[in-house]
Amino acid sequence: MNNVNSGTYGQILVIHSRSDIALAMKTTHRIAMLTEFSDHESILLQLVTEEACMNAFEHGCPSGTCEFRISWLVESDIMEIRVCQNGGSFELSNEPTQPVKIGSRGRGLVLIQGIMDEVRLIPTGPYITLSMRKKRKV
Amino acid sequence: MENILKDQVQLLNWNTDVTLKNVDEFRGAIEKLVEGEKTKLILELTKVAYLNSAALGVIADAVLGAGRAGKELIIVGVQSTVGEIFEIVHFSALMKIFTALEEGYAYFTGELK
Repeated sequence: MNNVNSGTYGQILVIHSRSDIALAMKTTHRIAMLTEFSDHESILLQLVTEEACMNAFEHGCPSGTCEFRISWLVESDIMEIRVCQNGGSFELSNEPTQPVKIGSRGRGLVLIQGIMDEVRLIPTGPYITLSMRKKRKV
Repeated sequence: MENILKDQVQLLNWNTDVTLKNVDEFRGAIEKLVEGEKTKLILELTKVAYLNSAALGVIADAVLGAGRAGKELIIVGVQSTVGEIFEIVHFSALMKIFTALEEGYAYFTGELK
């Protein structure tokens, strides 16, 4: 599906370990550059990638062994990143920025919801998919 | 990392992005900063474009821990992406944040509120 000229780009990566998250972040950066997202947007999309993958590890891999899928789809000026994992559902806040968190944890989903234009959970059988979409700024 | 001591202020100039790969090193450096003898502490992030949520947690913990110890930790040199990240998590409600290092020193000398 990789056809940058037509404005469509897609890729899938299976994550097995924490070290694979760095590869996912690099993939986000490469796709963002290919599809003309700005450096600023690319950095924030990499952050979303890291946080979504870490969230998948923390909620879907209690035993430490893990396998989940991250996919990218860019159509026109919108990048969608999806992280699909087995079980381990979690909640998205309707008011992600309130109240101010003062502890050391719990900011990952706040960041994702603050950076992306649209974030939703899609349950499908035993799987839960975190879908995150961001429109490229002109 | 550069750790510069001045008369009243201890400065930690952290000069690389913080990801899952080096967040433990970042945590150690921040803990060392807060555990020092100085009561006025500055974390400079001029060369940092990326902080993950774990790094934000380290900073929040350090700011609160410093306050409990009668110290103050402020952040300086915040660039555009880090500034946007800080805005999303409302860090300005928890700590003083300045764009330039000089503003941090001015804050501690009382020249800037």
